[in-house]
Amino acid sequence: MVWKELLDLGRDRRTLLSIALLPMIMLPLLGALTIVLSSKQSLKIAVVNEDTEGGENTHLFIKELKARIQVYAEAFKQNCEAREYRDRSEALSSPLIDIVIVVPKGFTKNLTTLDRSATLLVSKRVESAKVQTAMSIVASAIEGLSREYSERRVALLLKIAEIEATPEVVLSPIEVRVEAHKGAGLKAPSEEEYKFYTTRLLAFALFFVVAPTVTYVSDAVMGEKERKTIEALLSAPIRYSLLLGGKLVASCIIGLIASIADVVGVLIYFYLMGAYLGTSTMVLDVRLLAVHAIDMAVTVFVTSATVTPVVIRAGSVRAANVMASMVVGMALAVFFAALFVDVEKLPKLYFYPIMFVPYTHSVLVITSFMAGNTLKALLHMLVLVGFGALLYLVAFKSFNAERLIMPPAGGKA
Amino acid sequence: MLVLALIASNLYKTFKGKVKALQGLSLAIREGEVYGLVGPNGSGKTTALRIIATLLKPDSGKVQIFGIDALESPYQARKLLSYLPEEANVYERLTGWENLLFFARLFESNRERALEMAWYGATISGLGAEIHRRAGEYSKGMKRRLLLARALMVNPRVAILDEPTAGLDIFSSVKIREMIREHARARKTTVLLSSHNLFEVEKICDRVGFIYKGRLLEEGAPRELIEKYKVESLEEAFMSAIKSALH
Repeated sequence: MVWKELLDLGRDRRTLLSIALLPMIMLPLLGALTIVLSSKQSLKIAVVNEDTEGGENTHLFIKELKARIQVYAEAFKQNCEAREYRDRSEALSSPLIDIVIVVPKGFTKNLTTLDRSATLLVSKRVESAKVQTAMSIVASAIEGLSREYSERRVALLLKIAEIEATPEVVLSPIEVRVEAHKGAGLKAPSEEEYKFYTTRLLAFALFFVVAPTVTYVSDAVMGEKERKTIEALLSAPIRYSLLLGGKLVASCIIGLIASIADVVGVLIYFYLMGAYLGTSTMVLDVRLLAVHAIDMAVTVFVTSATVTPVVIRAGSVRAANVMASMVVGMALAVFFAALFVDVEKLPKLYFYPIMFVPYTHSVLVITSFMAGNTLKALLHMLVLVGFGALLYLVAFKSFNAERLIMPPAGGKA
Repeated sequence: MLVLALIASNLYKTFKGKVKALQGLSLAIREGEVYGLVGPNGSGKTTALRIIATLLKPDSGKVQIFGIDALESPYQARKLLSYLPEEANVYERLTGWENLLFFARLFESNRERALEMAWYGATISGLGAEIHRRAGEYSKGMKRRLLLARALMVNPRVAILDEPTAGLDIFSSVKIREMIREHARARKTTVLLSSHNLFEVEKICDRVGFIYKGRLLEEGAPRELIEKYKVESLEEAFMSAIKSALH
């Protein structure tokens, strides 16, 4: 059965291309396209000077603000244009402008005192796709300027009070020093944090293992029915447990190939995005990759075993795919949550039910291993294998030749 | 000594509580006999064949293949039979040879014997060098010859063939009939086939059974049935049998 399935797939070049090459190319291509398009779209920020009484001081402030905006835009790797507008309504009504900063009347006067704060009005265009990025740049620029003016005020006050201290000490009385630790309180170098970040990404990437597996299991079983090869196969002297087992193994191999391609694509995508943003936070560890590869293989097996009884009950490949997508949905929920949640720290009310989802153990294998708890990782792996074996048994028990060969409801008997 | 290869007793089968496919069908086929099951669409032919091939379970009744209860021991029964469904297809991306080898490996665990089996299948298919082309490139007739060869190469004690020449042209149909007849004679294979084509049934079958609305109306050698109903052809005998049953 395995030989036949793999031989068949080996001759299906289009499918091979779509499972092995496309994911490795498409996801990074998507990332590259996002980067290129994102960098090409220019952010437009309007600065409206309504503080005519401020004179040259206001002009200097606005010039400094625009310069800061440019600096932060470069740091965010964004094209940005900050221009002065005379009229507020003109700036607000232009669909091309993402943020409007209004310097109101009396701003400079308040800014140059010691006992008043000067307010800038910032209006963001809600329909703009990049308004959040623009807001981050503007907020950083204003924060920088505000800090500078604070330091000047404090320096003046310290001089008046004849206190020997720097403005930084007054403005930031509490210093924070951050260290990292892991496991039983061991100090962790900074790159360990990146490893755990990579761990979470890899846990999330397990989702890309599930989707192709579901497709191949659906086709492996229902495809034989639609291609009219199932009857002769079922009438051969082959035990149905072996027939099903052969299809499961073949689906696992195919699912694994697709999964590796998908995961490589995901990792390249994240690497590209990280490199572009200047925050390359992925650290690949050979042992981690090895554990991930084994975890992936077992997850593929569990997925095949989970989907098979669902697929057997469907009347067609289409229906099988739709029904099996519920499994994909369950997997997505768990793997997406793994990005943000430490499963083991959940309250018991949530923890125990989620432990009955096989994919939770897929995630815990990786996170336990990275936390230095190899035994725990092994235990979760065994639980995952156990789930797979149990689900395979369910699949076999629900295998019904009559249901497979008869047409769906409404068809000819 | 007369050995009964296949006994089907009182088979009943209803689908979805409404469609009564079989209503007490009984058959007894001798070893080495070529038996034709003839009837219109919806008469229960395919259902009967599927039950005998252990793909469906009847609501009641028994099936024995060389003494083995096919319902109690389907796996043992499948070792003795092979089944060619009406709408069977080949594995299109595999070559004809690979199609044969795959099935040979299902029937025979020994590699060498499986290879011999596949060689035999290639020979009786008559496909020659085309056997190494992808089966998806074959014509309909070629596919059917391959499928029949696949069914016969495993040397079944009972070969169940559902409409073996359905949709084929004259040349392909003649080839198929020859394959069935030669194999049955050479290897003493019991053949149970279903067909709409009464001319073909008359040519190759030792005995014929008329099935109508899930019941066996009549059975006998083609000549005997023609003489019994005092008609010129098996087709007319069939129509007469139905008229008698309705009255």
